Amino acid sequence: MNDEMAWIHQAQNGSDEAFTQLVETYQTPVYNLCYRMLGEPEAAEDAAQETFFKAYRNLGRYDINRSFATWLLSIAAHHCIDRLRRRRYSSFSIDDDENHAKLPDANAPDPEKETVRRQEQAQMQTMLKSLDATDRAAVVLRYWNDCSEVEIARALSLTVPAVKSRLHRARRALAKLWEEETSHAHVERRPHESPAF
Amino acid sequence: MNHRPFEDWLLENQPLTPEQNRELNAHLKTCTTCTALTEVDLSLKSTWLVAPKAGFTERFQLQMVAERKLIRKRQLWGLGLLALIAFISVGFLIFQLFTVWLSSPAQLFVTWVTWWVTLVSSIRTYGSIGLALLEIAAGIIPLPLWLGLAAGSFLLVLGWVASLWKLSYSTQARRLV
Repeated sequence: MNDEMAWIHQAQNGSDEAFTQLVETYQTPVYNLCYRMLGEPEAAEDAAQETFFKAYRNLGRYDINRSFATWLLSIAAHHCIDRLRRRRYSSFSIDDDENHAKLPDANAPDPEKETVRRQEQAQMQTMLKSLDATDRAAVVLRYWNDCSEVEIARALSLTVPAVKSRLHRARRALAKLWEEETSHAHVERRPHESPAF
Repeated sequence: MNHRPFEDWLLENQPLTPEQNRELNAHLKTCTTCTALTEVDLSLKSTWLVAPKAGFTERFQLQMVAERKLIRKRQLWGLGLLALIAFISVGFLIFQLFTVWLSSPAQLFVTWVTWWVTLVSSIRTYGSIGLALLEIAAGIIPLPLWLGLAAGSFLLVLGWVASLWKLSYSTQARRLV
């Protein structure tokens, strides 16, 4: 039995310390999912905390044959989807450096590349808000949490073909926005050039 | 080749043959849509996880303690409410019974008195009727018939006593055997 299974077993038997270990282990993926879904650090913190509370309350129902991470991310995704549906319009804050910590990059890229990468990430975060809540959850689970299509289907209570279809649709939508943004930025960079016609 | 298969290759993330790779690269030079799709895919794959502010677990523990207190408070309120409902229900039942007990002795006394009055008056009525019938019968029935009736009654009583004696004697005899 590995550490995680031992913690889950102990937590199911009422050990708060064991559950705290699980919170410590999964706080970043859960918070990241909530942040990518909701776009606001405060809302993400609340949603992540609520996710762990829900997990704590329903730990007795957790099926040990399933991945704990997928189960936890499923709770987080459903919670965020509900929240987004309730408020309908999500507002994303791009200037988020003050409110949460970014994980140190192990590859340590050069500053220029890092700046470009951060800008792309900010652009991506802005573009995510154009997606439907479930499509957004599928994209976040696929790219940020490395979940397989089967795991995404389980987490979002969808079929595998539905997940594929949603991921395709989301990527097409993001590509369209990316194309628009890129052409817009291209025009802005050359304001004094004469038009092509 | 048209745009569609290239888009499908990109969306499916299937492994491509060297020939397909060459065709795709050639297509990407002319197709802005597929280029955007590739760039989005690369951008998504180079994303990083955002961590919460330091002390997330401690905040969770604090909130867990607060929530436990809230749950305990809610349970106490729930228990209090249940106890109040039970008290009111039992009180209502006791009040109902007490009301019946309060009204019952008078009711019982009235019933008892009515029953005795009815009984006494019935006996007196039937007695009066019986005496009236005897007076009438004494005038109608002649003396020899009265003597015959008296002798018959005596014989009946004698037969009754004899049968009783006989029955009791046979039982004693069976016991001795």
